[in-house]
This record gives sequence, structure tokens and C-alpha cells, in this order.
Amino acid sequence: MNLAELATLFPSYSSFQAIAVPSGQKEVVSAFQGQRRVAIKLFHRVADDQERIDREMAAVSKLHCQFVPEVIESGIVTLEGVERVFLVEQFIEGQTYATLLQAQPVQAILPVVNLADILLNVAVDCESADLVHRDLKPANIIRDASGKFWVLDFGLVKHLDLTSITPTGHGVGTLGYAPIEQMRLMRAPIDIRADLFAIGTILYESLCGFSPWRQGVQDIHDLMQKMSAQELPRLTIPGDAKGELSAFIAWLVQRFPSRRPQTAAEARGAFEPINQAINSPVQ
Amino acid sequence: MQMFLQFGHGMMAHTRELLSAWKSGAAILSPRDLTEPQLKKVAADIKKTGAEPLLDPQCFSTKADHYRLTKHTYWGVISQYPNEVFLGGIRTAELLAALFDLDRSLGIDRHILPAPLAGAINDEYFSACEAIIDEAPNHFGAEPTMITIALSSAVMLDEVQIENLIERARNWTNLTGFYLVAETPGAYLVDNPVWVANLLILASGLRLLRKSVVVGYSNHQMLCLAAAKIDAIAAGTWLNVRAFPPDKFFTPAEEEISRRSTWYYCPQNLSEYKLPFLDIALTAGLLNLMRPDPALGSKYADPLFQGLPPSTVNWGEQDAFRHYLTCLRAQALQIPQTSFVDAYDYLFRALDAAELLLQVLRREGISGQDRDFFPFLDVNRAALTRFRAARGQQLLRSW
Repeated sequence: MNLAELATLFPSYSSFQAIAVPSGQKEVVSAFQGQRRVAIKLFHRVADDQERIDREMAAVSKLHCQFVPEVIESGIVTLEGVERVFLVEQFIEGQTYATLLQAQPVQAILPVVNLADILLNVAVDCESADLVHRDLKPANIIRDASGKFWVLDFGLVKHLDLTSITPTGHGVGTLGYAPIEQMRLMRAPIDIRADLFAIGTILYESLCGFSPWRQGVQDIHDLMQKMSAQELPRLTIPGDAKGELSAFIAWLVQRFPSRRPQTAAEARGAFEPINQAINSPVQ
Repeated sequence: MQMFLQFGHGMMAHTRELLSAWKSGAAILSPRDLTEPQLKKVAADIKKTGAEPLLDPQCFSTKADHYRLTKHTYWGVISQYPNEVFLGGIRTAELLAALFDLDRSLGIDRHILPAPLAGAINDEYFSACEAIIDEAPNHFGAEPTMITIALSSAVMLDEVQIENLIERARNWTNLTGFYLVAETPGAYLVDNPVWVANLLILASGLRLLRKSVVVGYSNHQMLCLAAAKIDAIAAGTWLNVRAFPPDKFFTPAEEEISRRSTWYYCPQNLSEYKLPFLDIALTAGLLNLMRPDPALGSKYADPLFQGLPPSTVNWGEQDAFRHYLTCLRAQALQIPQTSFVDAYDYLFRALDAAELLLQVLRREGISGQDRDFFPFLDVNRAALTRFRAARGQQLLRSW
């Protein structure tokens, strides 16, 4: 990446620094706009991906959520003779939740409840904007230096008000976090209930210390079979005396969408008393 | 939960008698068992009692050849265009127009829409249903309509197909309800808890779409559907209206008469008994334990409990049927519908109470034979438990 050329293309920014990201789809450069640190994401313009990139940008632009980095600008630039789509957004410095789980696989109930609160708020905001993230997983969650969680990477976002660009029969998402309807094991359309499943899976993993759907499977066929035919065992969670958090998570990770909360707002509403009870237990 | 009457062979007099006493509810008329003049007469009689007549168009197979069913005017469209009536277009319109005319002539204003029996939930099945659903407003206007959901026992044992159906039904917004009939794996009571659990899951999934749900061809094993908060089950006299045998629309009819027996339904243990077994209960001093709770309102079985051997009193199938249907309706109405937990706990307690009585009776050799509910207690317990695991959280909040 030619950072000097990049600086000429983005004159209102300074202190460019390349950042390694585990994605072949894009490159990320950090920079400063005055005191404010930003991330400049530069996407490779593969013809087939153009609409997907446009949709990610449109999604993040229309999503007003305090737990999703703010989009500052987007557009197209020619860098090193190649047209690139760019997106400039608020830079979040911190660790991914996947890294945190690697260091401490089993989390205590309080931070998990606080994470649940944030993820459900993101889901409610997505629902209001007719969006489904479709790739919620620990690697797409960052905890910043202040301890605040952020949700990143709307690269697989689905706009419920637009025609799908995913070919019929093709699953999308991350195995072990996306539900079976997203992996096309059943014929249900994708909606926010897919994100609720992923949220439930992240919470479950945080409390038991392993990826619950991937645990004990040999290959992708095993995984698909497990996800379509089995329910996860109910968790026993220290600090969840009445089992309400456990029951709530079990509701989110139901295999079939009709058995989960039907809306993010419904899930958020059901979670609120659990959140209060755990955060402010009666002495 | 209500209980509607499901018409089958020889139901006219029972319907008049029972609905005159109940003065509410509904009866689902059967074109297989009634000619058009009979339909008109019985529909008028039902309305006089204050109850509602409904018509099941029974289009489960376009190849059905039952002689009375195929004589109805609307069936003429099916006989002539068996491959087109569920494709949409003019033949679908003709079928629904003919059904609307029939419903109108019977004074029916809540309509059951036809759909074929699903051997599998697939695109063909959805196309057939949606051809009917899309065409229906052109004939039935804004009047309430329930689509028939008729499922083979193979579908009933496959929860992925059940869930695919529920998801698709979310789009069927111009319906007010579903008329659900499910083929049983055997002739009557179901010994497979997966089948019962899937019926519960399906019925509640459709109910949670905020539509009315009526489950036809039911019996006392389906009282558990109160945990799904459906609107009604429908049951009748002979076994072929207490379970759904799709082949009855092909058979010449009346063969059931040759197998007649009189069975006494003991509501508190969900079992039925032939009269000689009641004689044994009398001898063993246990018959009074089998007497129905007066709160159920059936006096039809009183002659069996007057001290004489039940097989010697004049108690026949008419009394047996009326007793069964009266008790079943009362049992359905008794199940609390205040919350999921209330309904669920009540149903479990009822199974526990039935088990205690069954144990006492079985120790003395008093058996309902193939209608003894003892082997089905655990079937229903397992089904209810599975149902709670699948839908409990949702029903706790969206009852």
C-alpha cells in the first residue's frame, strides 16, 4: 500500500498507518482527522462484490447505533492505478472479543449480561433500519480501552427492504454462529431472528468456555447435522439462581426461527428484567 | 379451548341433540357424509341452536372417488380438472366460486378453504395453497377464511418440514385462520411422541401468527392442544372422525358399521371400555371410580352406574357417542387458558390422575384394551415436555 499516495487522496487526514486485517476483501489504514482517529477501509473492486460493498456502506450509514462505529465518509478513489471503494469510519482501538475469549474462555455472568445488553441493542437498531448483520461472532466484536463493546463488519449485511443478492442455495455467515436457515438447511427467509441466534450462541460460548455448536463435531457435515437436529443443553450459570438467563439464552439458540423471539424488540423486552435482576440483585 | 363437532356418518341427530344443549360452538359439516339437501337441513338446524356451521370441503385428494363426495357441485370442477384446480387461474376460481355458492346456501360466513393433503412440504404444496389463498378474496371478500392444512403422517414426523410450513404461513396474511388435519400413523390413538409434539409445535406456531386454529379429526389425546392455546379441536362419533384417515375419501363407505362396538369413555382416565369390562369393575367394587364427574354434564352414562351389570342395561352407541362428545367438550373447556404454565400444569396433573386410576383398574384386570390410555400417558408427557422446550419461552411471554 502506497501510504504517500493515499495521503494525497485524503488530504484532510494525517498520520497514515497500515493495519493488518484477516480479510482478503479489504485493506485498512488508520489516520487522524485532527485529534480524532479514523479507519480508512479500502475495498478491492471485484465486479461481483461491488453491490455487496455498496450495501455495507449503505447499511452502516443508515444505522444509527451507539455501539457501531460512526461512518464519516465513503466513495471511490484511484490508488496505485486501481479504482478502490473506500469507507472512512471512527477507529475503535481495542481487542476483539475472540481474543478475550482465548485468554479467558469462561466469562463471569456480569460481563456477559452487559455484552448481551449491547448486542441486543444493536439488534434492535438493526431491526429499526431493516437490516440483518448476518455475521455476528466474537471476531466481529471489539472491546475498547474503556471496556465498551462495539460491533463491526457489516460485510454480510442483509437489507430487508432490498432484493437479496445472495444466490439461492448459497449459505452465508460463519459456521457455528449462523443459524440453519442462514446456512440454507431450511427454507426460511433470513431476518433479525438469525442475528438473535448468533447473539445467543456468543453468550452461550462466553459462559461455557467453548463454541457450543462446533464442540465435538468432526467436520462441516457433522456441524450441519448437529445444528439441524439437536438443541444445546441448558446451561447452569453461577449467579443465575432462577435459571432465567439460561432460559433466555436457550430461547435465542433455538434451531428454528419460529421458536426464537420473533423480533429483536421482543428479545430486548424479555431480557430487560433479567438484566436488572442480575445487575441489581435484591439483597 | 372449545370442542367442535366433526361430522361423519350418522351425526345429524347427535348434532341436533348436543348443540341444542350447548347452544354455542360449531359443527364441521362433511360433504362425504351428507347430500346437498342434508347439508342445508343440518346447517339450518345448527344455526337454530345458536351454534355455527362450517363446511370442510374435503379436497384432500383430487383423485378421491367417494360416491357422495363426488356428487357435490363443487366437486364437478375437481373431477373435470383434477390437475388444474390447485394451479391458480380459471379452474381455481371456478372451484372457489362453487364452494362460496355452497357456503352461502348453507348460511356459512366463516369459510374453510380447500387444500390438498401434503405428502411433503415443498414448492408444489406451497403453490397449491397459495393459488387458493390468492384467489379466495375474489370470492369470499373480507369474510373470514381458514385454509385447510392437511398433512400426511410422514410430514408430521419431520420437524424441518413443520417449521418450513410455519415460516411460509407467515406470509399468508389475508387468512384469518387454519383448519389443521393431521394423518395419524395408526387408526386412532398415537403412540409416537414425536407426532404429538410436532402437532403441538405446529398448532402453536400457527396460533402465534395471531390466527385462529381449529384442529379437526381429534380425540381426547388432543386435549393437550390446550397448551398451544388453539381455538378448538373437533371430534365426532366413529373413529374415522376422531383420527384422520385420508383413504376414507376413496372407500365405498359404511364399512365401519360392521365393526360396531359400544365403548364407554371414562373421562378421568382418558380411556374407553367395552361394557363387559365395566361388569368386572362392578364386581370388583370399582365401577364408581369410573363414573364421570357430574361437572362434565353428561347424564348419558347414568344407566351404567345404577347398580346393574352395565352390559345388561339398555345402553347403546347413541348414548356412548353423546356421552363421549359431551365429556370431551367439557374437558376441553375446563383446561385453564389463563397462562401457558396454568394450562401445561393442568394437563400434566390430569395425566398423573389418570395414571393413578388406571393402575388401580388394571390391577383388577379392568382394561380398555387398545383404547386403554395407559401406554399413551408417557407419549403425551414426552410430547408436552418436548413442546415446552421448543415453545415454552415464547408462550410464557406471548400467551
